[in-house]
Amino acid sequence: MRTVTFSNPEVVKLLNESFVCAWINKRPFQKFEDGLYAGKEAKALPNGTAPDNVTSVFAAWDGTVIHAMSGSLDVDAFKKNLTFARDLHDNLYEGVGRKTFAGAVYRDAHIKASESSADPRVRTIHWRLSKSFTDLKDWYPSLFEMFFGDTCKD
Amino acid sequence: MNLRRLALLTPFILVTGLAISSAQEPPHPLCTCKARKVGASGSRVDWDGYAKSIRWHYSIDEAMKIARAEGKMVFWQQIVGDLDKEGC
Repeated sequence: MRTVTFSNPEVVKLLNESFVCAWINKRPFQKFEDGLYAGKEAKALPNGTAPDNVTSVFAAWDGTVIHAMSGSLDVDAFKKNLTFARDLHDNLYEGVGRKTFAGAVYRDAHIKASESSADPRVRTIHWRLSKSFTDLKDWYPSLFEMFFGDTCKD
Repeated sequence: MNLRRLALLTPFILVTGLAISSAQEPPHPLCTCKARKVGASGSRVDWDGYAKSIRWHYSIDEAMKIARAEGKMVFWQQIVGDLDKEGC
């Protein structure tokens, strides 16, 4: 994602126009060795990458998570998720305030996206997100995970 | 073993936390990744593959403040890996 998706001019434009970007290495002490992903081929995404080592989170200025997607996303997938998040945000917020019935709009949008997705992983993510609003702080990797999460088992 | 690692890392975290609190553009406190490599001459050079067109922040709180001021959303990328070894 770093070298392809985030180097794509359209992605760069979309991100710079509507987002403030930040990143974190949630396993800073993990060491990568040959064979780390042995046996994980069955979990690989259609684009050949692992599904659980990268997460893209789209949030409002107040930290409310609007949308999130796991896995390394190619340009088209990233743009699709970014657009979904941006449009949903615009339906939920007016200025810096959240609109009335934003919770229902948020839930309905994710349920609809879940039902219309052919990818079981995407369907599950939307379904989980639809349950309630979450905060970016809830997504912050725990210190335990950062220090001791030295495998990709989860 | 894990408790021993934690004991060894605690002073590092405290020192790193103090160091970043006084800097304007701090390095990520817990990140061992390096967006730079050492060139043939021994000097540090930018990693060519890195997406330079996007301004990345290390602090999510800082990103949220800027997002509010500029009327933008926050995009937060969580990765696993060591950029030097081009991990995940």
